[in-house]
Amino acid sequence: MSREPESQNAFLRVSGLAKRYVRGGLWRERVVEAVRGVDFEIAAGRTLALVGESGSGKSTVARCVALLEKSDAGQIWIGDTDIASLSLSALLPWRTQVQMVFQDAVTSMNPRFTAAEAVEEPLLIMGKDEALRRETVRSSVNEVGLSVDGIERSVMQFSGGQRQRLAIARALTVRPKLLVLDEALTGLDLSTQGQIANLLLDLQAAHSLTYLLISHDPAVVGRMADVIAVMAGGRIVEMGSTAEMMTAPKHEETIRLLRSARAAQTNLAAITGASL
Amino acid sequence: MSYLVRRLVRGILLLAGVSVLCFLFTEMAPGSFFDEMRVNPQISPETIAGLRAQHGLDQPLVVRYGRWVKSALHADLGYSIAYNTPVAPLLWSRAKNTLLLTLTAMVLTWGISLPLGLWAAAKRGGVLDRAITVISSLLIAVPEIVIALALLATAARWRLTPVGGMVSSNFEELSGWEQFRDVVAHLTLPVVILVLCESAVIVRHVRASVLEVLGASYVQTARGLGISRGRLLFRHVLPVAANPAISLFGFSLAGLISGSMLVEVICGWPGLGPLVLDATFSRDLYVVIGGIMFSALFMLGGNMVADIMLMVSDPRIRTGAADAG
Repeated sequence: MSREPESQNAFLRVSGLAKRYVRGGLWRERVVEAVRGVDFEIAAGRTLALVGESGSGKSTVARCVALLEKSDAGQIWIGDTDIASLSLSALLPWRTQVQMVFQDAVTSMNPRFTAAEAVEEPLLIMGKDEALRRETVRSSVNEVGLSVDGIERSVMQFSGGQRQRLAIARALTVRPKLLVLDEALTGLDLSTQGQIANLLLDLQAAHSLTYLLISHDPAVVGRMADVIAVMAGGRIVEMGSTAEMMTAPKHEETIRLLRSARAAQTNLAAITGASL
Repeated sequence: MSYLVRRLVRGILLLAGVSVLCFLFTEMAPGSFFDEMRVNPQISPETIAGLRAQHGLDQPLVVRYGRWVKSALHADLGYSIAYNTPVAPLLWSRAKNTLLLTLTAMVLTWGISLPLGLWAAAKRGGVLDRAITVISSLLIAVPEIVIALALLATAARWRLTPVGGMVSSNFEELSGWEQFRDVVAHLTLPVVILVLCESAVIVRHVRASVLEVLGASYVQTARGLGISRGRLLFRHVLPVAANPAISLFGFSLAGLISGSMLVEVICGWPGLGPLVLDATFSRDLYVVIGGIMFSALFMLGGNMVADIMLMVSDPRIRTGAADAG
């Protein structure tokens, strides 16, 4: 652990992050360089969106930041602590500060659990007492716009959008400061997507949450992010404010992403008959 | 409860279906028990016709089936022409040996496959995982009969276990403990063959089920919060991965029973296998039908046990909770 002298108001600062995977065949191993030296920072209470096509390395960055993967090189600073350098036991107090919300609402909940059990699980892992657990579950479920009356039902009885709300409620139970949203709005219908986006913006305003938003959808990113970083081949190829990136993209990868998003919107409009 | 009753009714209908098919197929099969007698000039055609009539084989198929069902309801399952005795007691005396072999193999198969599958999934890509992948692929690819013959030859060549039979010739002279050891020694070879062949499939299924759960985001979330290994295993991984494994349990019993028929013949184990094989060669058709019915019954029993285990382990099956999607 050492002190990083740069930007004072950044909540999260990632520097030189690298991650590679060794994929084993039976006889020969293959090394995949998923992330090759990524640098960015997110100011407290703001949103940085990592965008890029599949395989560009954005989810790997998210998993490293959420402490689900150990990076091979680089630093992840929260305040003046490089959490990437901490041992497993030293990491424990930091784990609650960073929570992740995944894309797949179906696999994001243990199918054997009731909604209450699923939301309560982080507190159980942390060894919190029952009264605190019950109270926290109720307040978190209320906060994401769900009724506490139905939380004894199996998670499998909730719709995709409701499960995503439950996943957010579960993340909120440990009072995180940073939420890593890994394609958390992908796969939902447009109406539900809009509702969840609004919910996340409201929660950000209420709790000064910092978001690392992983997405391949420029429309979602344009609505939620303050800063956009475009990834390709494991590197950030362009980064700037949302307005700047949306109106005057410079890198060909950014231009290509925006162009394909517009084409998708045009196709959608042609199918639904809506005007753009 | 209604779930179990439904399964039970389905099982009875299935048994009825199996019995109808058995009768149809044995009717289509060429030859009969009395064919060898026809070439014997000392036995007159009238005698053979009398014997056929005595066993009801001169009756139409539907009548024979009706008589067999009546006999089955009296727990006789027809009459063996070769052994001159009701089929059910004859089969039961052999089925006990088949059950001993199959249940021992089943306990060992699952006792070995579950921890190995779990370990392979937890250490995915590691040396043990690769070794299991290679060995199980080999065991699945090589026919069971080849594995059985190779192990039989090895056991006989190096005198590793007794070969043939269920007990030694001096079994009656042995003390209780020595008798137990003698049966275990004779049981070893057929059990090893069955366990090797069946484990290869089950280890891969368990590994795949566990890997699927380990990749689920709720497991990653729990890991991210520093969940202990024990809690992760017993609260998240095992309960969820158990469903496909338990379903497989019923099928594995069926696999072991059909596999045990072959192994019993090769190893000379006095179970249903050699009895049904002899009955097939001699066209002792009620013994063949009874043998198949016993196997079907064991398979249904295994599936029923699996259903009960699923009901206990997964509340959604009891409550019929639906996926809202």
